Amino acid sequence: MKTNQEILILGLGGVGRYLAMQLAETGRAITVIESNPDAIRRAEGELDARLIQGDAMNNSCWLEARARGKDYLIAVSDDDAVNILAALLADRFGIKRKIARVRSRGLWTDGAVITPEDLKIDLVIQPEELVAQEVARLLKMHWSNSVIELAGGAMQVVGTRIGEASALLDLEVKEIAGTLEEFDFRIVAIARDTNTLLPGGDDVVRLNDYLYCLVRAEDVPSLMLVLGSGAKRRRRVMVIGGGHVGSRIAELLQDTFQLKLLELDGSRAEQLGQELENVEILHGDGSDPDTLLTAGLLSMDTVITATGDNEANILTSALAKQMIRNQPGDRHGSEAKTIALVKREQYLTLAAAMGADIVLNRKVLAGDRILAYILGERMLSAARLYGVDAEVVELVAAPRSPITRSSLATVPGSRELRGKMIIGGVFHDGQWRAAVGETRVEAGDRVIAVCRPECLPDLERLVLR
Amino acid sequence: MSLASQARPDLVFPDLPGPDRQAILRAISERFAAAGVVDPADLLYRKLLEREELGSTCVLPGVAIPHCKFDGIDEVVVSVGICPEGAEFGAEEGEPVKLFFTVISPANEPAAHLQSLALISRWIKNNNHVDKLLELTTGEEILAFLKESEDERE
Repeated sequence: MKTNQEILILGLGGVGRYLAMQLAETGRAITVIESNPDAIRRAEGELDARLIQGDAMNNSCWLEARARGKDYLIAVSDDDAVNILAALLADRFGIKRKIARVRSRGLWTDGAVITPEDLKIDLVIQPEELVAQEVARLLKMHWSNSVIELAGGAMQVVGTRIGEASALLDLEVKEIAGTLEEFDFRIVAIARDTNTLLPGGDDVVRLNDYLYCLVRAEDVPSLMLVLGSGAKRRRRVMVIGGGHVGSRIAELLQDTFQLKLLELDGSRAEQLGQELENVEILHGDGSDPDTLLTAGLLSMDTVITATGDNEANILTSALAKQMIRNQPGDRHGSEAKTIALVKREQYLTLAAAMGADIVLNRKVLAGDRILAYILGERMLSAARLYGVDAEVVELVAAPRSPITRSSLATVPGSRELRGKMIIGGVFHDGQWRAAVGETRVEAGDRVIAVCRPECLPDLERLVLR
Repeated sequence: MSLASQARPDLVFPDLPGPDRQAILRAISERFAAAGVVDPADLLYRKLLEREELGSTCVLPGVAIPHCKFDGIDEVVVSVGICPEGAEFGAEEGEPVKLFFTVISPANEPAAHLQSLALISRWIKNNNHVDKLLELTTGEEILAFLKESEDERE
């Protein structure tokens, strides 16, 4: 595959601009079509891209954009229909991969007569689905252990929260590595408060850190021993609002948590009761304190407000948190978390200021998903670590790539990349090993790396070129 | 650092009584207290049980490594115990556990604590080690075997 890919972006809204910036930095050639002259003017001087003002439903616009033979179309205009039609047009112009944002959900629900393949769309971006998945991810990370399998199961990334009982508590990463030389694992990411740390040797493991360790599958039991954690009690989660996002969140979480869903509309509640077998569906007004109490709010570990009303979500979230935390004689309440779903960006700061513990920006979620798709195509596998701003990827070192030229500690640019990516494991001579500074990677070796999303281009340069 | 040098002769128990986790941990705690390592026994029992409740320390079928940090002791203390009839110890597969390495460490020595756990995890990975140890019946034999097996490795 050629490395100088050409990308056509349709629409310069939040997602389009974010992607144009990120992808231009990777050296890919970017062309943007946008109908709004103001948006074009704002982008001039800010984006390293060819900007074309015009209507994507007009053939001449595609000719001017020199669409023929480009590698990707990213259709993220405001209009679902335009994005879908653009994918079809792009296919006729010979564009290889088509990504389209489609907000409406009706097209591909049960009994659909048309598929994304029919429309020549390779990746459909549904912002609401991404939000639901992200919420589920964050909660699973917060309340339970997580495991990602790599290399066909030979390696795993195990994520767990560090408690008082952990034997790693208060130790430097390099002390840990020195002590445990014979069972192979490496700490590849730490989530601490809201920050993500890709730790170096001097970093210390602290209480309540969420630690991600790359480990050989056979060494997982030994790792769990020193991590000092295991199965925990099943946590209780309440979702307020049974619309599409709320019910989808409940569906994704129902196997891991004890779930309640509170829905205002009686017939919708009844319908959800039939669809979601492992969720207790309640009918009532989530903004009413008495209803919340009756629904069992005080024993919840997490409350998610997911109605269609931004303001209601923010206020109910604040109310719920106050009620849970202020109940007398119970320390459980101090751990409880609230998540408020808000659509408009203007509300994000407000929601955080009002005490919501987690505020999600769906534009960045959509952008990162597309970025990972495009950059990830040249990698064997890529997975997002739960709730951490980092990807774990598996790739094969290309002949004469920079990573093969010296030991990992002295690879060109390694100093600048400290804290941004970690080469965690290497498969060489039929065996996986945790990577250390002296490790040498040879062409053809498989490599597992943990990397901040914005540094995927650097990783690509290091290993694949 | 070796396992044999950390395992105290007065804390080798070839006869731990079952049938379950509580009985084993209670017996270990009482014997640690009787040997003057900790005081009171009940505090150690609760700490060991608390750790087990977070996740079983049974790392291999038949082998568990109960451990905790304990204020007021001076150095890492390791004990070896065998429960000949096997005890129900919360292992995932439900297999009875016969061999127990218990590690108690001062609260301010996290590196030494980790090192002992690592030493034991490494030692029990050798299947022959566990099988042979379980054939022994006296404290002297057990200590001698630990020393011998570690010398071989060097």
